[in-house]
Amino acid sequence: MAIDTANTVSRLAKAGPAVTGKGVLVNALSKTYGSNLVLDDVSFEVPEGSVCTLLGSSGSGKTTTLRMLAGLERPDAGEIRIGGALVASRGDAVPAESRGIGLVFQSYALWPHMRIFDQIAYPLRVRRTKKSEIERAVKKIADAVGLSELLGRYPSELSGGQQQRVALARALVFNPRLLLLDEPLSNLDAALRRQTRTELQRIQAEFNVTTVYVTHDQEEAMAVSDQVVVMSKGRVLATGTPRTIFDHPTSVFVASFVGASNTVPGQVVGITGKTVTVRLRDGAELKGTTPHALKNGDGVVVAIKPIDITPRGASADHGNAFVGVVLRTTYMGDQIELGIQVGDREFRVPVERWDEHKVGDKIELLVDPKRVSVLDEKEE
Amino acid sequence: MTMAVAVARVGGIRRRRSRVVTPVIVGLFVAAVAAVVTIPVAIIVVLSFQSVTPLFKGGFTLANFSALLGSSTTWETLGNTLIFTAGGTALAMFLGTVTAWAMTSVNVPLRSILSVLPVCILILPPLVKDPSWIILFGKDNGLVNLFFHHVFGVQGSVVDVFTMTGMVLMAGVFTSPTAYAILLTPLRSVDRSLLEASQMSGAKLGRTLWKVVLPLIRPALLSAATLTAILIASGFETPVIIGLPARINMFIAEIYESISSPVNGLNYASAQASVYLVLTTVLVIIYLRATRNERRFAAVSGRGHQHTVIQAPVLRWVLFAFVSIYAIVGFLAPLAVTVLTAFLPYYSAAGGKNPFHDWTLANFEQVFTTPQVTSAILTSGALAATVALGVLVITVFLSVVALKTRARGRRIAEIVGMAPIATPALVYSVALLMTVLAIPGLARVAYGTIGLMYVAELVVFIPVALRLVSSSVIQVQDELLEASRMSGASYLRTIMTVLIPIIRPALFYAGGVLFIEAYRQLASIVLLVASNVTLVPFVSWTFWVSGGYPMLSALNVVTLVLPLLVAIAAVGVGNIGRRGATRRPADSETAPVITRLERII
Repeated sequence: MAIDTANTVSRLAKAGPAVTGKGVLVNALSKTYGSNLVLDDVSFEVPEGSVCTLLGSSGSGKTTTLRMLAGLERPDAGEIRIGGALVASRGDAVPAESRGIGLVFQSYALWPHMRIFDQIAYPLRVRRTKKSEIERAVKKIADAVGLSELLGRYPSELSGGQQQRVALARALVFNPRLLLLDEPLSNLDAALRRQTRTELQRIQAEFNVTTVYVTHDQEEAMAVSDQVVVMSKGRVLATGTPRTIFDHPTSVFVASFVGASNTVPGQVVGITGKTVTVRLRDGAELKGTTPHALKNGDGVVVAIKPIDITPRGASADHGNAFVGVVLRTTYMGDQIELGIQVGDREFRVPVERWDEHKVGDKIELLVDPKRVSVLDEKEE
Repeated sequence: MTMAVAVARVGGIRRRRSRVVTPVIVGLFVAAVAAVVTIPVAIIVVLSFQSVTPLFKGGFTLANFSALLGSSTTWETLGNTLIFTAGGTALAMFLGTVTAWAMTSVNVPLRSILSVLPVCILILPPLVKDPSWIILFGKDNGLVNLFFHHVFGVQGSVVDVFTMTGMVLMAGVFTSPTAYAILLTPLRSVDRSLLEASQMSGAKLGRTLWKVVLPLIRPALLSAATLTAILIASGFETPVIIGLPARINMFIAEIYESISSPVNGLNYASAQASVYLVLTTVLVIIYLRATRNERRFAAVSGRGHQHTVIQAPVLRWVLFAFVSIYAIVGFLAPLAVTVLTAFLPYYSAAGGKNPFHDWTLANFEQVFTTPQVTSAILTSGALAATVALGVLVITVFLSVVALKTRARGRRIAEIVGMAPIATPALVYSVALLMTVLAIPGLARVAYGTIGLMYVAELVVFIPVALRLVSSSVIQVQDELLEASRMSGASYLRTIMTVLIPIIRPALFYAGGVLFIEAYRQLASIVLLVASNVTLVPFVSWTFWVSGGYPMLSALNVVTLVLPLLVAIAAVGVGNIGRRGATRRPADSETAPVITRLERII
């Protein structure tokens, strides 16, 4: 096949674990609307049975990518393979209805005129499944998601959380080769969101279905995924396990977006092994680690998560300290957040709720060099 | 090997044949509708450059146009049409805007009843409006003049419908319901906070209305004004019934005369129709530009939107009086006159005598026993039902293609559907008639058949139906259809199992409206009527022309009641087992009418 031998074959496919069975391979997807480039060379892969999250703010291209996986949008360039089979390639695509993929819409998209039973049975009826088999399958999935009592109702008679479970049941009932979830928790209130998230994880594991999950909430992404793909302005900025992405950001954007890091610019003044010493603009020096190959004199950005910073005296001293001035104190109930001027930036630092620092106080802050990311200022 | 095949084979997924076949079917269907809509119009344009009726015979000439444009009558009638249309539109907009604002935003007493009455004007058959106004506001023997004469001793006439002022008033009052219906929704969705912000800035009510409310609904005002102007310019009853006897000739009445007694030849009539088409097309272009901006309404109503009703102790009574008089003049009085005269053996107020005596049921007896009339009632019913069904099928198809697909050229479907607005019903029927006469051999098959009338009505009602249907189609979220496709359903199946059931109430409502309209619509069939077929509007027309006013009234009462019952039944069926509190009312001008009519029913 011309397509397989061409150099469009993914470097990912060669380098990473082989994507077989029901795994997904996305290679160099691009899409333009008018003059607006919404997807730019997007590649990632999802091993069979795992959960991959597309994480990004609105306009990052995460939903467009999801819709391309679904078959509701066509890529201008690039290709998508599901279980090794090509389903979309440069302007051509297997239509959504022929892909056998389950999609849970952000709005749930329940049909107002159908009872819950009929909603869930719909994909099976389309597939001309036998009536007795439909009854059995709907009952089974309804039990799994806890809807058994509600099958005779209409969507308008259900709560938001219940509607969400109907949408999930409808997407899973025909044993899809891939499950897509578009911001599934965004329409639920905070308490329900946590509970539903756990529920989703349980069901995903039970059905062992390969899942692609779109969200803008980094906490949600960390909690549900085996793998996170961070997207911004149509591009993939980072791919990795939640822990790698969170602990070892590779760019300033990823560091700020995931974990809401404090950032401050500086210059490399010393390198010993993996440890880099950075001089900040006010003259202070900080040690940190870097994923990049840096040399003395390089311009860098230092990123530190608020949670990793402690005032002197509150924790172990790694000999890695810097000084700031308290600009504000914000009482948040379970803790106090200090706004501290470091160089020309304001750092957010959470402290114990009995902390007594006042505005104008000088404060010495400590941070473990392993928790300081030194990032090339030129990296996005 | 093409990409499509490669994808299919590597994917190992069965490709649906419909991916190739569907676009072809869609294209053919849209092309067929486009042909029926445009070909007759193209033919009259060609004929207007010929001197003989057969198409492409006898060479081309500008003689028709030079005769037409050289005639002082043409310019006089065009001038009259302009005054009539502009005046009528201004009045209709004034009535519609004030009433819609009063009904949505002020605590006017009895609002629930009053707000329905302007919409009821739409229910009056065409041959109720003009004749009843002649009875009411005619010179000398009009009931209003008689009242002033007997009660206040006024000599001479206070009002006279047979004047330009009378015609403008008539056009304004009878087309205002359209403006009213279009403006109800945007006025109802103006958020309370926007008014309160103006009030907090120190503005009085009048200033707030002028500076905040009217600008907010400007797109709706513009689209209502142009649609009203199109309706007035297309209307043929008032120019013929009032204008001709009053010797205030309108251009459309000239076209009617040219066809019904063709002294100047049919090619001259074609030239007249072509000139009129140019004028109405200009109006339609303005209308389409105006409605394109209508989407900006989205900004008017949003989440957490709250509407407020002003508590005005004096103003509420002023507006109550205003809307009441409007409702009496536009609806209650014409209805009363029609119902009362239907029970009279003859109608005469000559010499100022009381015409209401010797009550009788003879007219109704005659309506139901004259074979010609009963067969007209049945034929009109059958014709209206098939027209309604045909138009619904066409418009559901056109709106799905235009709004819910990404087919190339999907805009064409929308344009094809809206194009007939540019062709007044009378002009389209002239075009259809000329088409039949111009193509050799076609006359023998089609001339004077019910099929020709069917085509004429079908085309005339497409734009109305398209607005009703597409406003409900557009509300069906794309995701509901995508969810069906993700479940594996084809496009056709998605339409049948998801889209149609969701918009079913709107479809039955549109069907009801179309049935009523098609049942009594006169303009598109008056010139096409067949020798062996009689239809209700045509029978009414002959009753009017021959002066049998009580008979006309009796038939009008029947025309008012029968199709209304059918339509109510249709809307009722449409709502059986209706579900889904999630569905919000349509954000089109039709929504308030739907909800209100449903509430009455």
